[in-house]
Amino acid sequence: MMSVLLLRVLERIHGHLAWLSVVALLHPAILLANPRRRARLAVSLTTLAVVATALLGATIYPEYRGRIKQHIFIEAPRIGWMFERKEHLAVGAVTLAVAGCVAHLSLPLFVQDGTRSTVARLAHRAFVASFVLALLTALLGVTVASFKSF
Amino acid sequence: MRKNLPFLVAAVIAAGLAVPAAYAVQRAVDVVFRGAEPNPATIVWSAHIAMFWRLAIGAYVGGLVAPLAYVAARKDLARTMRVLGACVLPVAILIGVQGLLMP
Repeated sequence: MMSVLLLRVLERIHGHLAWLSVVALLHPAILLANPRRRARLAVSLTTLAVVATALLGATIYPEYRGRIKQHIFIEAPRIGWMFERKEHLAVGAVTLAVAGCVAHLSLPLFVQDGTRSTVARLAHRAFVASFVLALLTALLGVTVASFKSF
Repeated sequence: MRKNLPFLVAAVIAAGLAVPAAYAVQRAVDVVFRGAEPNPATIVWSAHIAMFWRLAIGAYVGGLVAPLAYVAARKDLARTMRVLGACVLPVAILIGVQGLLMP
């Protein structure tokens, strides 16, 4: 069982890191529109930030369920459902960012130009989709956190 | 070994796309077919964390899809990557629609 102070610190780090991740996701979503463009460092760091945010969220999620979820659903069910929406969208944002990262980093392995271009476009689509889902997740997260937090 | 890496990449990407798709389908099935769920306002605590459970099943489905994608990539890499590329937006729309409309 975590202390309330630790939960507050982790929750705030999670929230700030989440918004940084959203902004970071915009970078590959724009850069990779050009299939010839390589941005290995940006893609790796962005994905790292997204995964770190998700792991932090997963760490405090059981405590959210035990300490906050029921209160939110009693006081404002609409906001409670917003949190449920946020967790589903976050799954999409994280997995698509990882898929995009794997695709982009593996580009040198594809020797045929046509296939390499296909994989580059796959990475771009994955990051655009991840950005949209992450933005919605972050907006919903702020709404919930501004209503009630640890 | 290096020759096999593109096939492994195809397998990893296929598994990565299968996880959110399986997650969205599980939740949609819960909402549409399993009927009324207990009101979250009446639940103090439960040991079962549905989100983690769905993710674990999604990872399992990803593990099942990966070898299929590997075999498909060995057969025709270009075609497999085209199919995976075409799957990205439908998967994103699937999890987006499920997340927003079927929380």
